[in-house]
Amino acid sequence: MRLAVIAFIALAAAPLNAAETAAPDARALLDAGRYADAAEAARDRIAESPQAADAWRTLADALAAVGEYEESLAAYQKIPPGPDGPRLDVEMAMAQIERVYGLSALWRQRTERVLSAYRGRQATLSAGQIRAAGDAAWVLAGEDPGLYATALQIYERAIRRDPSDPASHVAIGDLLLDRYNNEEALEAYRAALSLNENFAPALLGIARSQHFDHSTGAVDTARQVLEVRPNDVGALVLLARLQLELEDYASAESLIGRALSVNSRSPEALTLAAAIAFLNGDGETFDSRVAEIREDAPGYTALFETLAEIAAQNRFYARAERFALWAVNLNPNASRGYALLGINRLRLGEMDAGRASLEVAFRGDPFDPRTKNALELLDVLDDYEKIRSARFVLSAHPREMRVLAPRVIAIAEQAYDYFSKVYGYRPRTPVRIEFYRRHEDFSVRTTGLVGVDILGVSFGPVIALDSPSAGVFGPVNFGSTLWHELAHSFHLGLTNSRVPRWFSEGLAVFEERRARLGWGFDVTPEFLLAFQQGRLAPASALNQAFLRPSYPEQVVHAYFQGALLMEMIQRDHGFEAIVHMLEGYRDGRSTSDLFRQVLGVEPDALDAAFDDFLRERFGRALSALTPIADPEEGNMPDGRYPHLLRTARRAMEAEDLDGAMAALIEAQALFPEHAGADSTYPMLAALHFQRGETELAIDQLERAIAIDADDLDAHRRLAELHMESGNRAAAAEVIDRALLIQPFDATLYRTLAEIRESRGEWQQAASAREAVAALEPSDPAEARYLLARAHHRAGDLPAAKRELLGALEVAPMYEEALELLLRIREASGA
Amino acid sequence: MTVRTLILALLVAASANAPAAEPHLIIVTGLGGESYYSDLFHRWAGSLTEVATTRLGISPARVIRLAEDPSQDPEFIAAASRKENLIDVIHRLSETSVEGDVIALVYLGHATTRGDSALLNLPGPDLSAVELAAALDVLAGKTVVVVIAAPASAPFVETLSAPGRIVITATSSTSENQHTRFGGHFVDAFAEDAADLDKDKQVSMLEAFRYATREVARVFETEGRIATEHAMLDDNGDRTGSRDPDGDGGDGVLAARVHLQAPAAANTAAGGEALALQIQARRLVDRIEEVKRNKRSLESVDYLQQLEDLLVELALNRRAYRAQQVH
Repeated sequence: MRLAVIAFIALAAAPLNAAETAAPDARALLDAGRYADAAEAARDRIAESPQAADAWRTLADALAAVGEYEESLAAYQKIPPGPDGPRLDVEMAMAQIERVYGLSALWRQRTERVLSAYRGRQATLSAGQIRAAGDAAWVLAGEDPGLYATALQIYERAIRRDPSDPASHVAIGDLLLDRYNNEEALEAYRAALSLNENFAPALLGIARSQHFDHSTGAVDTARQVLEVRPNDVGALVLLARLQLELEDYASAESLIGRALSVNSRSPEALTLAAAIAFLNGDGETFDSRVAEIREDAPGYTALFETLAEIAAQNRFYARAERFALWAVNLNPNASRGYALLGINRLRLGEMDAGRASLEVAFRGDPFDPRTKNALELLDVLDDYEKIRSARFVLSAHPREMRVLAPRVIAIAEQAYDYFSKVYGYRPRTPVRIEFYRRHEDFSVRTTGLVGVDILGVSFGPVIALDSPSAGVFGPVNFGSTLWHELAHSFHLGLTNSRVPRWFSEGLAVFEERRARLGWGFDVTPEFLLAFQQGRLAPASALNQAFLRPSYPEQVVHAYFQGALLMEMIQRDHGFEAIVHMLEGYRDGRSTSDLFRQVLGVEPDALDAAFDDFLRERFGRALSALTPIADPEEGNMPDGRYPHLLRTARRAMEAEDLDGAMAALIEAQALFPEHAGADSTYPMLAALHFQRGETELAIDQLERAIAIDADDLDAHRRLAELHMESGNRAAAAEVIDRALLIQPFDATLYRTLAEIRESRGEWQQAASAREAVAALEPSDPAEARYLLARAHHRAGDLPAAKRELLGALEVAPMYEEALELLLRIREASGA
Repeated sequence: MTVRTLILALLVAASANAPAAEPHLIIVTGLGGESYYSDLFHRWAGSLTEVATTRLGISPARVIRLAEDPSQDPEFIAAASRKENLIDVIHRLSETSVEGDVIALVYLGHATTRGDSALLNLPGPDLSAVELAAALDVLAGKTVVVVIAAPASAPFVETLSAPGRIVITATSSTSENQHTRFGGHFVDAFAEDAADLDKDKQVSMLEAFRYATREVARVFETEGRIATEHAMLDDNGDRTGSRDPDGDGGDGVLAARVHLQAPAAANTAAGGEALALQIQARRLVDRIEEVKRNKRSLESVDYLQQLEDLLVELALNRRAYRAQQVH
């Protein structure tokens, strides 16, 4: 990317010398991106005045912009030197072309000469020439990082020389953006725009910084550049990249076609063309594009780094690792390449190799936040414990491992068996599962940066999750989340990472929903309203909802929508159709092809069928959410269901329990699928309890958690009611499920242990006591004594003795523990 | 361990082997400022009085309570918690107590700093840390515990610190000047089995301190707020408090030995054999502590074996003691 940046700086060069004959029309044409016209106008001017330096400069820049580099170099050479020696901006423009296109081995000498000449002549140089020296320092900084600061200082000097020249501000912005300082880069670009609001390089800089920041404004800003300069290759390439990130390969291809029609030798555009071919599974085109770039632009080192980034963005982590490896083979100084190599190795579970690569990257470029964050994350992971099971390695904080491991391993092993069977595919083991106590660490693991707003990710061989203790997203069932991410690991492996996000997300939620009652997303009034109002993305274009949501909740709705689509496909075509679609993705087929070939429907027809499915599935609820204008019953602008909920709440406030009960019963009959804190279930449960109808209250809460297994309050209340009604077995079962939402609640484990003990279920009691002891209880001696007692009663005397010694080490005078120690010794004949 | 702390530890250990005298407890509540705090301090003091006279077995005559408003509980409150009354109580105790007695002063209320002075906010004139230190000097030779459960109480550590004295403050900085919760949890410690970490059926000052600090931290964590109080304990006379005294050479050695439990009637009544068993038990505990101190230098198997052997001996001792109690 750096070449493009510097090329645009060259294009924005200040006039060579105000005293010389200018060719303003030609320069204006060049600035407008009309390169052929600019070249023609410059040639006309040169025909009139062969020594017109500005005309030669415009011609050279115009030729470079369309990829006629050899001719461009010839034109640069025609530019007469200035009164004090060679023009530094011309020298640097030539050096850049020579470097990237391998047209001369002199580029380094030329670059060093520019920097050296600047040091001797800085007092007399124009802002444009000073900037060229900054470019020289920046190029050389690749091998000598200390020169980044020099480049910045030189650009600042250029601003002082001519504060009205926006190009110097852009140069600073580009350098800062390259050095990951997006915030100050933006300031520099804005400073340039304050001097010239249509300055295309500044607009492009802002678009790039928005892309760096994952801001949605990048597309609009890049389009603004094209309004000013329709042939701006940099803007076209950036827009294509953004389309690739939206998985819209066709649009990306069209944009790259436009870029290549301007400059068929642009290595950035050709790299994107190679990336598109890769993502389309077109190996032949990919190979030829890569060969073309390598042959024509051997000095373009960003090729494989860009490919690695794009591959990783599209979940091809193994290919990303391979591309990064090629990047560092091509350029042993490629710190970015080593960073990408390291990060992708970590994603593949190759922790030691990943660390080694990151350390190389850090030595070369200690300012890359992704490298630094990833190395710090590895330090965090060093302190984590690891446990190995048959098919998994679990990594978790030592304070959480003993609590998490039994449940996580059980669910993971069960999921592996289940998914292997239904998908007919077994991923390579061990699969690594990491639980992060700090959401920031999880975020770094996911993207290299903080600020990710998800709680689980699957890279295939590695799954990373927020620990329930991270607590960023409120109560969430971690069993369900783990199941979801494991489903992704199977989808990614089965399709060689070619499954589109929407399909994998929908299928993973579908798998959650059929794994356990209450797991996965469930229907909400907001989802049905979005459907009624036509805001849901069409079923055949769900990827857009994930990648470019049109309203804030659309991503959440898309998860559920995807799951329902899978439900419909299973109903109409059997689950094997879903597996066939996965196999189709693996073979490089598109979604619309698969709709036709596997489901036998056109995308439009599928959309219509899915709408019918939703109407059929939620018919009553949809009616109950339809506005009513009834003069007799009154207006219900948001439908009968919300009206009844409001009526019930008002009745409860007025202590009209019968009225509230009647409204809630009617509401629930209209929309029984709606659970959660704002639904009928907790209110009806409370009312029944108030009336002494404990069994009915229990029934309400049982139904609520069967729909929404994330509802911790409902689980707690239900367990209490089971206890009150004497059904300790049912209470234990509910607490077991609650512990998948809140696995660090010692009180829940204590209650569970007491129930298990009262039922003589000593092995299960020991398991619950084990968790209490692991949760840093306020009374550690007692916790370990009770654990020892449970082990003792379960017949595990060595474990009992181990825990007793632990308890007595803290509390030697603990009489009950001492007595149990004697009994164990007596039982073992000592 | 410094020479001084070693001597202290030996002294206290020796006294722990002999039948302990009944502790003296002075409970002082300061000005509430508003009814919420007045009521809260009163409740804390009431709870401490109750637990002292029941669970701890201290005779009511040895529990002296001074309060903002004596009329709130005239049966238990001796007088208003005015400065002169508190100093008078201390002086009287210096005459009625004997060397080796434990005398605990627990202050539940507000405190402030003015210039260089740290002050307890009492009805009438405030009592400065310096004045309190001077008053406590008359208790030389006794084991004195001072608990200042109040905001901005940190300077009391430096001023009151002295050999043979345990000083506990609710905060470790004068900037921690918001209402503190430490006092309530410190009182609870004597009522909760969970505070008795070593299960010797008595809550030492160190255990009470640890219980209270842990519960305070838990409250702040549960509420999702940054903790505005961090308690300190000093018991080695170095005028510097520790937030996490570990009883391992620095602060905490004395506090681990001192408790407010009155000697059980059975202990003294059971005669020589029971007493011998108690003394033997204490010696076994000391040997266990010594093995624990050597843990790092021992192989894990050897450590566990030595520990187990001593524990078995102790277990047999406790069986024998219980048998004595039955007879």
